[in-house]
Amino acid sequence: MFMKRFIEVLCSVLLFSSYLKFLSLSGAASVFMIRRWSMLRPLNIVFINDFVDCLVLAFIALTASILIAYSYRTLPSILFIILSTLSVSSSIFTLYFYSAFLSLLTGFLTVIYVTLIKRDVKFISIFRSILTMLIIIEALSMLGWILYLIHGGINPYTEPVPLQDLEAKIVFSISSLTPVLATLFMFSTVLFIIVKPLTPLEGSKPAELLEKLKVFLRDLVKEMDQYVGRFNLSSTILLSSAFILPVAAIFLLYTPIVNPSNMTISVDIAYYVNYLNQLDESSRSGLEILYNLLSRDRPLTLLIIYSLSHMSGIDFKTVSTYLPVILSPLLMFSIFYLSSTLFKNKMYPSLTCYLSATGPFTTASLYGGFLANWLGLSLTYLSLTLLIKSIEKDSVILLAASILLSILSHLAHPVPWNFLIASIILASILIATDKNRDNRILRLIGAFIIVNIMFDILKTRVLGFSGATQVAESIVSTELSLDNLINFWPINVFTIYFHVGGAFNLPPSYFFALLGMILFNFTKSLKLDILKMWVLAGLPLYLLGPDYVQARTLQNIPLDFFISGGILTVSSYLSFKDKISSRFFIASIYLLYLNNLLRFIVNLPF
Amino acid sequence: MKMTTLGYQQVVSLILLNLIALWLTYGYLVAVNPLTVKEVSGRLDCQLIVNYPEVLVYGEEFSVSGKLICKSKMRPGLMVQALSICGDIHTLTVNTTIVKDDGSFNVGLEMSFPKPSVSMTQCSLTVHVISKTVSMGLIDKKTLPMIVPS
Repeated sequence: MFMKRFIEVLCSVLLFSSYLKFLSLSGAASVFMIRRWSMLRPLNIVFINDFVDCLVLAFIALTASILIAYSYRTLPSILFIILSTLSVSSSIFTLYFYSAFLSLLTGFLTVIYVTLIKRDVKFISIFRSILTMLIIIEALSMLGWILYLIHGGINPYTEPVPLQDLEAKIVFSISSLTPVLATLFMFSTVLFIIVKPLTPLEGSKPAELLEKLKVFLRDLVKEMDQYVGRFNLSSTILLSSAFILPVAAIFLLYTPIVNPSNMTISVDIAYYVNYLNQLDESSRSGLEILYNLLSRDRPLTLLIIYSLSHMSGIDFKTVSTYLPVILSPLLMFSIFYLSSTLFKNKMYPSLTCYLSATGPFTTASLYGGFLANWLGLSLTYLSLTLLIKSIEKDSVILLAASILLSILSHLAHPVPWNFLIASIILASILIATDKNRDNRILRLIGAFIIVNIMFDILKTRVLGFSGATQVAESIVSTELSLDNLINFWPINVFTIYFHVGGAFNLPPSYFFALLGMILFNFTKSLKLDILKMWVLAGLPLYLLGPDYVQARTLQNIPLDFFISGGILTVSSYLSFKDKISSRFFIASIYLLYLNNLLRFIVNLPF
Repeated sequence: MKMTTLGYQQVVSLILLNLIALWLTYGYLVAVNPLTVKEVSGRLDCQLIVNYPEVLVYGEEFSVSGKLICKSKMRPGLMVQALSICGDIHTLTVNTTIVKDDGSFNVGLEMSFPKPSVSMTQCSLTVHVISKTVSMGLIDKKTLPMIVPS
């Protein structure tokens, strides 16, 4: 028993550490934002020095091989000893890359041997050990960022301790997959249509596996939809962090250690401030100010900044800088409300909120100062929630409230409103083409669309003001092109690595989003159909648009709702095999996203 | 042995899936390309020494000089980029110069931004060593006071 456990731990340590060393010696690099500069940095990981690191790894490989040979006395175990001996020799002859490669190979082969061939060690045990190491690194990294927030330094990744450097390198080691995964996610609804004719033959092994997957996902959806009245510890931590962390981040951004020159972090704030200053100088009456604000495409956001500034006597810049203190909790509230409508379990909404609070949406918004987008998306989610509730309860009052909120979202920012209307139109087409369509739902959705479009026509065509469809028209006619499609990958790689400081470069997000899309795809529900159509509505923009249009698409699709679904799919699968692994998995996700937020805010100012 | 036939829908699906797989593979290669630049091996075994001015005065040009001291031979084509930001994001000033064979450099900077309304503000100066457009990870940074003459 002890021997088995020892082999299990040794194999996990070998696999994990030799991956890091192999990565380091392969010359791979990734794009890091360091003090607002996106720069290519090598993923070199050195614990003591290359010689000692490789030698220690090779000896771990040799020890694991000897133990396996001793336990099983079979021919393959001799092969492991030969491989690890070669690894030791390579490191002695300073062939470090080969040494790391051979150690990694030994790690892989031994894991396959003990888990799949001998079946003495469960794969989940290896996974749990790797998760434990990951949690330790993530926790140390968090500690590193906190120490930086106290002590400061020139390079935040390495000062005052390089704990955070290792974590960032592990995360970014898979960043070359981010553009592919993000594109695959955007494409997923189309992919399901393409794959549909390829259903496996009845009774075949693939058909059996597919059926098992469907049963597992349906059970999971049922479990997620089970009403649990109170929050458990995990959901309480996730939800409270979602409300507290972004607000704390905004204040941390303006502390002397993080931001010694007290620069304005968010790019777009200058545009809000300049416009409002001009408005203040040029307008003579309150009515004129209101008229000028309404003529813009985001009057509600501007009006909020203007009013808050005049009521409090604080200048426009300070109000705009600290407005996310209100916007972030509002978004969290709307995400919680919408996700609670999708699934009744408390874990799903809490996790979705947390991912939004610490993931690409918040980091990109902090960099760009997308205040109007922040407000617009919150109102859009609230409007969609009420629309879903009005359909479920057949309530005209809820429909009216939903329309009111969607109009407010139109006034807050044009992009989220455009996405909402496009997704509802696409979802209504889906319902209309369904054989068992419910005309009552179509009537409610039809009313929602018509009133919204009439409001837009009134604002843009009758009054001649700027508005959502006008902005959409302008983007479609001037920004989307076949040239962008031809150069899609260089543009997309730029969007992911460099746009808004590489805020969208969080590789695990898109992997889990894809899993979430698979989960939602096997679930027939109007609510989830609207979310899927939301992603589909963004596809033309993503494929034909330049970098900033691609980024705005990623910013405005309900990505976190899918990521959360994907994470809970993995967690549920693990829980089926081993409850501790499932908890470790959620803990590692929590720390991963927390480090993402800390890494980003610390590096935002020069 | 039971044989099955493929309909046109399956054939179209397979062709489309293969095309998408090829396109995604190409995307991965584009994404991985900047990540395997061997020249940025991080083994630029150098020390960056920068001499900053004591104080900056608005409207006056200033320079940041220094030296790159390397244990091994100096790599050709290295450049130094200096960047200053005073008070706000709009006041960004940047300039680049080539590192001489002996490792020395001198970057001149001028402030091309509107006059601040305050009499004194803080400027953050960052000096990077870059090769072509790629940062080598050698950075130095200092915050200096800037006097705004009345």
